[in-house]
Amino acid sequence: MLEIYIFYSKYLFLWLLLVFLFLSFSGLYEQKQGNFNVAKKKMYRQRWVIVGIHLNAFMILSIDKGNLLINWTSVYIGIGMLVFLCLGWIIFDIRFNKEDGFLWNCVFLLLVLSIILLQRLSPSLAQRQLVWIYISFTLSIFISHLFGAFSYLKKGSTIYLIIGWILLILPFFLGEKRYGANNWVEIGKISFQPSEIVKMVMIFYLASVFHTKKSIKQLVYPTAMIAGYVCILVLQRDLGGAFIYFMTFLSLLYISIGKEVIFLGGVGLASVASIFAYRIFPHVQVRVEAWLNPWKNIDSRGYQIAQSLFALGSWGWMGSGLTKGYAGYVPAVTTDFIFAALCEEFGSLFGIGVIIVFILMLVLSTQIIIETKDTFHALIGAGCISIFSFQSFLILGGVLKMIPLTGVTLPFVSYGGSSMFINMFMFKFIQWIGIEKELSGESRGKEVEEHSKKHT
Amino acid sequence: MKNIQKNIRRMMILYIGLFCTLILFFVKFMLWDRFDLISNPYNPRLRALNENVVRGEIRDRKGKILAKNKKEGEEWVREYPFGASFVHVLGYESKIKTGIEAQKHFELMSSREPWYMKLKHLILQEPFQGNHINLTLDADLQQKANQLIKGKKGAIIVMEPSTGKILSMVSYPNFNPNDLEQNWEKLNEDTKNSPLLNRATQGLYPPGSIFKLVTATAIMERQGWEDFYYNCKGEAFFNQTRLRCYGGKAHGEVNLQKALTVSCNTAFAEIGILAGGVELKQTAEKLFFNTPIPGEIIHNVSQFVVDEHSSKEEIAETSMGQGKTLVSPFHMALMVSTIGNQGILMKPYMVDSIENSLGKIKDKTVPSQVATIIPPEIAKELGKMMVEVVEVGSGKNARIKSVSVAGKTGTAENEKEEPHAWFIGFAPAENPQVSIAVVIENGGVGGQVAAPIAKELIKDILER
Repeated sequence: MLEIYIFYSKYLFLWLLLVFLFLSFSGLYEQKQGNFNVAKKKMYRQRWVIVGIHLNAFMILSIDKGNLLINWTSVYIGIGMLVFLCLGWIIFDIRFNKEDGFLWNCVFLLLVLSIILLQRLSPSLAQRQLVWIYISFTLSIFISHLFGAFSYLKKGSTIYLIIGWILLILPFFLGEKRYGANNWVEIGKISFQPSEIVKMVMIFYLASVFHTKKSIKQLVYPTAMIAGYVCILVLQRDLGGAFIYFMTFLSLLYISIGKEVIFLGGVGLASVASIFAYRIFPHVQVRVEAWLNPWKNIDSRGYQIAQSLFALGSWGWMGSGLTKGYAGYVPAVTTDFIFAALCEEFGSLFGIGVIIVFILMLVLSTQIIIETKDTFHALIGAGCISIFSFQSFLILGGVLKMIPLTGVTLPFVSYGGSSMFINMFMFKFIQWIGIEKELSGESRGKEVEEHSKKHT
Repeated sequence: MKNIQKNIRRMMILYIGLFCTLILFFVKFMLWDRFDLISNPYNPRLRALNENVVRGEIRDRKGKILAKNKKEGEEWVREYPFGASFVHVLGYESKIKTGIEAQKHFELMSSREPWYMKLKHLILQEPFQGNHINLTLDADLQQKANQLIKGKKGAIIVMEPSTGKILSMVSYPNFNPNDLEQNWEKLNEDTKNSPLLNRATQGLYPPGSIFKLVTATAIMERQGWEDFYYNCKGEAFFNQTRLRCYGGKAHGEVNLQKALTVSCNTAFAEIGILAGGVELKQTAEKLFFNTPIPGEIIHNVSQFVVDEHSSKEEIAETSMGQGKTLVSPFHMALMVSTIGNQGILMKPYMVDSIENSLGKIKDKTVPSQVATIIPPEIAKELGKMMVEVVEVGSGKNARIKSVSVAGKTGTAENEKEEPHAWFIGFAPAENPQVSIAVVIENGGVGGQVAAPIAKELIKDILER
């Protein structure tokens, strides 16, 4: 019976995801039409869909395949996540009664998928991820009370810059090598990735530089500084991080200046730099070779990407069914390659649906930050979106063998504390930008604009 | 601020574009690319499939079953009704998987049944039925070829030039896959006959005179080749190296046509030097020497070593088919098919279609062109010359009444005493329906040993 249920539940999962996407799009349409109540109803219905996916998956995960007994640890994780969902929604409904419910539903959906997949692949990691989710969420809510203060730190560019340098250089002294990259810091029992935190610091730095009009000359210094960041990351072999930093810089530069030439020039520059990096660094060559032809060295360099493609391609559009796949063979499947596991067990159509969820998050968050009148806020928001989108693109493209692999996490889905915290923080900030605009109204926006005009 | 909003929107569109390329790439992967890679032995899912799927059948072009699963007590056993005849093509399922069994393992072991059939299997707790594979091979022809080559060592490949379909592929000595378990060690230790080797695709032999077709193609790409004349004295010297025509026979005055018909070595040595190492190399590589042939069929790549640095005698020897050149019978069959098909190489294939347990065709191979690798006029001219070879030249033993056969014989010297016998050809010459390559290891003279076998098989097909 369980076999039959698992076999057909993949259709149920896909159907639920489609309903989720449909509700999002129709809800957005209603919002545009001004039918906020209808939109809200759809948003509430979406929450049921998320709970549906969660309960269905944990029902399967909670039954031991061998003896059909109930696996209680799995049940507890499931309940723990369910409690988180309910708490999260209650907090949102009481404290932030806003239309960004759709955006947070997307985040929660990804979190639910993360817990399901981790529970499936490595239950001990699922436990820890659940703890990370609770901590990150609580912390981000507390910090969001301090966000107001950031408005007064527009001039803090040098401070951000220095914090960034210190954090980035830390791994050279307190470093620990993981997955071939040298970008982890270990202090006592706590270990984290400074480059994750510097992402946020860098956004603040860039926003504080760009929120006033700048001449080309004035741009040289920040450009050099970011180039320095990127170089450090390349030296630490964190190529994915380097690309994300660079793209974020380029996006913010483009947004504040608005010249396509600069953007395209930057992309050109990055291509030239990549070719140089390819020539100089053996570890880059290894990555590119594994990408071009993983089959040549399938038992060494190409192993990971080949295993990922097997996971993606073996089962067809509908996947193997939850618990039926072999994603355990893919190295780093709980972090970088979690999308391969997702597609294997939920099916490739479901995987495409999840990519659409990412697009949806991109659109929804852009809509929020576009309404703000404060340039500083808009730039910070755009920076967050840029990091989120480009990072997702890098890892999804790597897993699909569209681009060479750069080891970064898939936001909200991959296992990892630093990554979870920063992503939660970024979306909290985007939410705050939306609320801030609402609370202070247009008058404050004007004031801020005048304030910034005075500076130039 | 307005500008910033506009720019943010543009950035969003850029990122949406990136995500959309991801989706498109993913869809492309799912629709096409994935099928080429999932049967890789490194895919751990292959092992898992064994438990709940009954392996599909393999059938020939008329639906005759070549391999099927049979229940013996509680266990499923793979059975090959034609025994040894198909062993190299199909491969085997036990021990190490090879051949079609290995290449199409994933299709055979996965089930493209509709959902209600799957539900039925799940409820009745019976295994799923794997997909069946229909080949382009012809069982009757395959058996006939096996009979003809019995007792010799070598390989035969029969193809359809206009489509790239492989009709028959035989390697001898062979063995019976049905009792592989008992004989495995014996087969592995038999290094003298190496029965496990698929000579048709993996065997590499010196080509002998059939290589003259490549040399001829190289010179015919030049203007004025019709005026070529050479006075054959039965032997000639190239930098102190003496090259001889077969049996030291002096052919006298020959042009290209005549040289090919009588298979004059010294004339072709001269032609090769005229064409030059660079041109020979270009032509050979265009004809897929040193290059893997596109398509699903796994093979050893034919080797050609002459280039601009080669010495005169090296070029001379290579041009007449000796030297360091090594070719696979599969490659030669494709080369001669290309000549028969107006210079167009069709992608060779053996898997015609995949169907599910209800007999519904799920995947059909459509013939596709690789490229025009010989200019059509040259291919036509070569074809005419090859007809002469069979009518009056070294290939007389392949002559069939009422049908014009085009062919070329080869007698390849090697370190052993007896040369390898070759014949490649196609028929009917005007509108080829069949092409063939035969090689008999240490069999003797090509025209006497290989040509009669080719004749029998061509007759067999055309008379049907």
